[in-house]
This record gives sequence, structure tokens and C-alpha cells, in this order.
Amino acid sequence: MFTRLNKWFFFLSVAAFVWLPRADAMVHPMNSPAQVTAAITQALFPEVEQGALIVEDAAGNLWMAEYVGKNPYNGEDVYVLSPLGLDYVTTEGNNVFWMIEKDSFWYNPDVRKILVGTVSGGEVAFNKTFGAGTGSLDLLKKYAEHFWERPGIVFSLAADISGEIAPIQDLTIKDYIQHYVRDYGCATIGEYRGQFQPKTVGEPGKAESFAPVWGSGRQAIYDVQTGHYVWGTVNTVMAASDVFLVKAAATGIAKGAWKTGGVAWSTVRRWMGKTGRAEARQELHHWAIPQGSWGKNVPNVIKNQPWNLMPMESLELHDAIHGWGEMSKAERLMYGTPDWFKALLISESGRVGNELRDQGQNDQE
Amino acid sequence: MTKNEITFPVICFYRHLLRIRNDWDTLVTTTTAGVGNGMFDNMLIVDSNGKAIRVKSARKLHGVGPFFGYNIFLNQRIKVELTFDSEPFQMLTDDVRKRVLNSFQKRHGWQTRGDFDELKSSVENASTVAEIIRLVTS
Repeated sequence: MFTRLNKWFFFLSVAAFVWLPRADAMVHPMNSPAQVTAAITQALFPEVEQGALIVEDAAGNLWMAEYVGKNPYNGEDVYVLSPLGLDYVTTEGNNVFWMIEKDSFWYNPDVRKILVGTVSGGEVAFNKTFGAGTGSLDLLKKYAEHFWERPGIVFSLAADISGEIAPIQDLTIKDYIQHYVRDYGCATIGEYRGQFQPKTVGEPGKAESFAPVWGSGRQAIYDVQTGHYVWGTVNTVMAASDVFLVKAAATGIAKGAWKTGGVAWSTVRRWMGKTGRAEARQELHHWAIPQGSWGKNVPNVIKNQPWNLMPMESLELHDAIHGWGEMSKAERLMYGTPDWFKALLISESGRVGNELRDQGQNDQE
Repeated sequence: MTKNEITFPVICFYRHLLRIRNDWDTLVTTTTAGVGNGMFDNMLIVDSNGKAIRVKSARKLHGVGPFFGYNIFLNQRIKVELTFDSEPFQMLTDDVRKRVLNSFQKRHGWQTRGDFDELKSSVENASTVAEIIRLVTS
């Protein structure tokens, strides 16, 4: 019993460790000045309008632009996309605050509350730092709620733009950027136009998402790349379950997934031994459709098949699974179902979760 | 009957089920679910020499192992104190055999073994309780 339990514990531990180091790297990708400088070479170049608080790039992503000064290299205005991990907007009296990652990790040094302006009659008058313009409070709230749904924050530059960036870094931005760019920050420079491609793997398509391992694996990587760590974990576990499922399916097919010909119990039992599924001394548990009770009404051709038969390690285990031994109900469920079925449950639950999540996102849009 | 008077391994009958226990320690170690499922209620213990005693019930003494014996399913591994319902008495090999064959008939799991017919035949021909115990242990 404990061997099987440890196997599952090990399985979940591995699944967690697969993404945790990456998650940590995403949370603090730019802690040192050197890292911040490096981030500039991966800057964004959205369509920025001077003085705007919220800007939208060509891909439809929303940003907050903050003016940081003149670029001495070419005299153009320099903006930094205020590296705000904006979770939501709230008001206290007339003040409007943008709450950064307030409800995210248990320990998160990035959590901040930023006063962005004041509100009157549903219109926000932004502070000078944020462009000193006005805007709708409802719209601002919407932007904040959708802030983290933008595509990945790491982008590559077109080569020609990268070349122009270097001297700017040295002369001006480096000093500013360290004050304005948060750990998640992405910089942008006004007036520049660049082509950028998100460095995410992209979400799997509808049909692709049903492909074992590939669909869930791709979704897991995409989730982590876009900062959805919980979903990243869910999909990593799904991918690991899929690996198990595929292995079980391959093994089952190799040994003969379906017993054809005689399906009387004695014949099937001999066949199970011959195909190496069970030793002679082992009992077999009909885990889904019992051989007796209501299972008597089910034809042998369905119930006396490998999918319904679990080799038992011992007589006691078999009795315990039937409720005549030392197991609780939860343990009976755990040990009385084949591993492939548990993996299937995990995998399918994850898929349903992803479906609901997509549905929710579509509804919001 | 004390533990020193028992010749292990023993065969324990309850309902139509049976258990083999190789020493006293494993005989009195179970789980709270095991006690709850009535494993010890009216259990008949027969040792390798055919000496038998009937158990009335079992009472929890304490948890065993890390975390007081609790596993993640909150099922606790425990030591129990057995309350005997009778004085020890001698059982014939045939009586023990009948009980085992009765279990073979009533407990469906036996017949899912690949060697059930041979096992049944061997038990039918066994000459001692110790041999029966060895056969059902295999």
C-alpha cells in the first residue's frame, strides 16, 4: 500500500518541481542592474501616444506609459511602460489607487499600492506622473483587471532596432530604468516602431489541446510564460498524467488491449497469465464492473477484459478494497482503481478546467 | 492464551475471510478502519498446532509509527488489545480445512487466482494445519 502511495507522492512532487524553478525565475527576472539593462534589449515598441496614461500596442495589448525624459541620442521623448503588475483599481475617497499584485503570492515584495489620480463623477484625473490626462474610471478598472491577460512579457527586437538601442541604454535609460522598471518591467521608447514577436509558445488550438502530453504540455509552458502559475501547475500535472496514460495505453496495446475469442473467466484468467499481466498466485480485482452482484448482468465480453482487471498484490489488499480489511473508503478508492484511470481522471479534470477557463475568458470578452 | 502459547504462523477466520499472521506483533497491529470494519469481531485464531481461540473484540491501545500512525487518508495504524471470548481449544485439521474451503467457496477473490484449482486440491489433501497455512500463504 505505501509503495503505491509513495509513487503518487513522487509523481506529484516531480510535477511541482518541473515548473517551480521556472516560476521563480519569472517572478524575479530582473533583480540586478545588469539584468535590468539586459531587459532593455528586449524592450517593447508599442504605439505610444505622448501623454497617454494607457497605451495600446498594435497587438491590442494594454500598457501604462510613463514619461522619463529626453533621449540625448536623438532628442526624442523617452517613455517607460510603467512596469506595473496591475491587479485592480480601487478608490479611497477621491483617490484612485492601482493595486499591484495585491492578491498574488503569499510572499511578494512587488506588492504595491500606487496613487494614480483622483476621481470625480466617474472621471479620473491622472497625476502628472501618469500623463495628467483624464479617463473613465470604469475603463481604468477594466484595464487593470485585464492587465495580466496580455501576452508574454518577454519579447525580441528586430535586429535593426536593437542596434539603435545600445547607445541609448548607456547614456540615459539605464539610470531611469532602474527606478521605474519593476521586476516584471518592460521598457518602451516613444516614437520608435518595431516589430516584435512574443516569445511564448502560444496556446494550443482546440484539437491540439486534446493531444495527450503535447496539448497539456504546450498549455503548461504557455501558462508559465504568461505568468499563470497555478494553471501552469495544473497543466504540468496534466501533461505528466498524459505521459502515464500514453505509456499505459502503449503497454496495454502491446499485450493485447481487448480479449477476443473465449471470454469465460477461466479462459480470460489463463490469458492474463500468458500475456504477463498477472502471476498465477495473484488474485484479480474487477474494479469497475464486479464479477458478481450487479455485474452478473454485464456480458463477460465487457467485464472480463484487461481494462476491468487489476492484479492484486495480496489477498489482504483485495479484501481491503472490498471493505473487509484495514482500508478507509478513501484508501479503497485510491488503491481500488488502476493508475491509468486515476491519471485519466486528473487529465480530463484538467481539460474540463481549461475549457471552463476559456469559456470564462470568452464571456468576459 | 498468551502470545507465548501460540505457535506462529496462525490463521485467522472472520466472516468468510481468512488472514495469516506470522507473529504476535502483526496479529495485534491493524488500523482504525480495520477495527471499524469488524476484522476482529468473532475472529477465530488457529495456530500452526491446531490450538484455537475465539476473539470477542479488539480495543485500540495506541498509534504506531510516524505521525502517531496516521497516513494522509487519516487512517491510523494502531496496536490493539484482544479480548478473548473463550478458553483455547484444539481444532482438528479437517475442521480448519472446512473453514478454508468454505472461504474458497464464498469469497469470490480466491477463484480469480490462476492456480485456484491446484490450491484447492492441495488444501483438500493437506494433512496438518501448518500445511494448510503454508498453502494459503503462497
